[in-house]
Amino acid sequence: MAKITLYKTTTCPFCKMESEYLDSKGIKYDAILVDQDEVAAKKMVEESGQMGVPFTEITKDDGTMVKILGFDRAKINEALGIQE
Amino acid sequence: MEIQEKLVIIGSGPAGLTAAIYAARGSLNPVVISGREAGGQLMLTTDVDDFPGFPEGIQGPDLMARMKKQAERFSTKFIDEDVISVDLKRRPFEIKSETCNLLTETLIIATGASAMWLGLPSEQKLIGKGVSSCAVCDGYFFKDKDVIVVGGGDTAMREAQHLSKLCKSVTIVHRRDSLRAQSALQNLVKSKPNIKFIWNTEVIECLGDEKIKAVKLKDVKSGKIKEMPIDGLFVAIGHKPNVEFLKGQLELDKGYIKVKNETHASVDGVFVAGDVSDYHFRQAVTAAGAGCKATMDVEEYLEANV
Repeated sequence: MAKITLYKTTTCPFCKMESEYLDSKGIKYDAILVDQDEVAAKKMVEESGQMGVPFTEITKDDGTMVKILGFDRAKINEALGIQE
Repeated sequence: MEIQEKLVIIGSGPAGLTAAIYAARGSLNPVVISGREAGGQLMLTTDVDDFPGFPEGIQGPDLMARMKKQAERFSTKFIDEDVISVDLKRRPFEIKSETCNLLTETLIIATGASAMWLGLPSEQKLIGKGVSSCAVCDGYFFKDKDVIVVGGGDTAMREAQHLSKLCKSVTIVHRRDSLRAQSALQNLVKSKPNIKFIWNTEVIECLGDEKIKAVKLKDVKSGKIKEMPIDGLFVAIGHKPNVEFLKGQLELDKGYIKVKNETHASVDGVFVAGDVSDYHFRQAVTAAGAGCKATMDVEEYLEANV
């Protein structure tokens, strides 16, 4: 199973849309509210080199990591092998 | 066998969903192709204080969820995809979404408009690195920092107002000498001590490699160029109508779908509602009203022609 981390902020509508999309597909993920957690916010900026949310990190079974900025359904589907 | 629909509605903002509510109640069994930006611009709007019926205000996404629920209550079918192409030369019309192929007697186009970027290569390179078009998404990363908002309409004022609660300073850079935004929003923004304005000025370049560090500003009157150090840039310069999928099959006017008699496009049987044909009012409530009119005209057309 791929490990998914979703960085989001409380007020971000795209983050909400992405959460709802993943929930609708029954996909488990760790959601991190960066505006409630300064350490996590710093970590996200350092790891991703950017300051936009939603930011999704998908670590696949083979250890490779896919990083996705914004709610990009096509990229999420591709990384997780979701067929719509 | 392909099923022939009576009505397909492309778009799921206030125009598309109101069209769907009227059509479903009129037993047209509408199919709404809701698009990847389902819900439209209101999904990115926080407080909606001017939609009638909500005296305390309502959050944009909540309003859209309610409209969708209302359309579903009267049996509307939703396809949660973007439209790839339409063929309006044949009858019935053929609509292709990412995975579906639909045939329909009538069509309502309510695809709205999407936010525009400045279109500078230096801006595109720095998206996520200090350049954003969504203050409610990314504003937190600019806590106690200095940012600019580009634009002079309602969206720019809303972005500035949200950012003023987080940032040290917000500078609104506008290419004209007055704002287009509604006066309630103008007054709100002008009352904030940490928001200031730079008038008659355009952003012509974003500077920085890993992160935006400054912008180059050009005074449109004098032509003078100066640099301004900043930590973040929020773009809110307006919207462009979503008409690419039409590939020239309908007449346009200034990029918007041209309408006659309020809702009729240049091909018979095709109707239009909302921001995709409205460069003047662009409100949730006017879009909803247009959606209602479009469906009433669809009903009239079906009675006369089918």
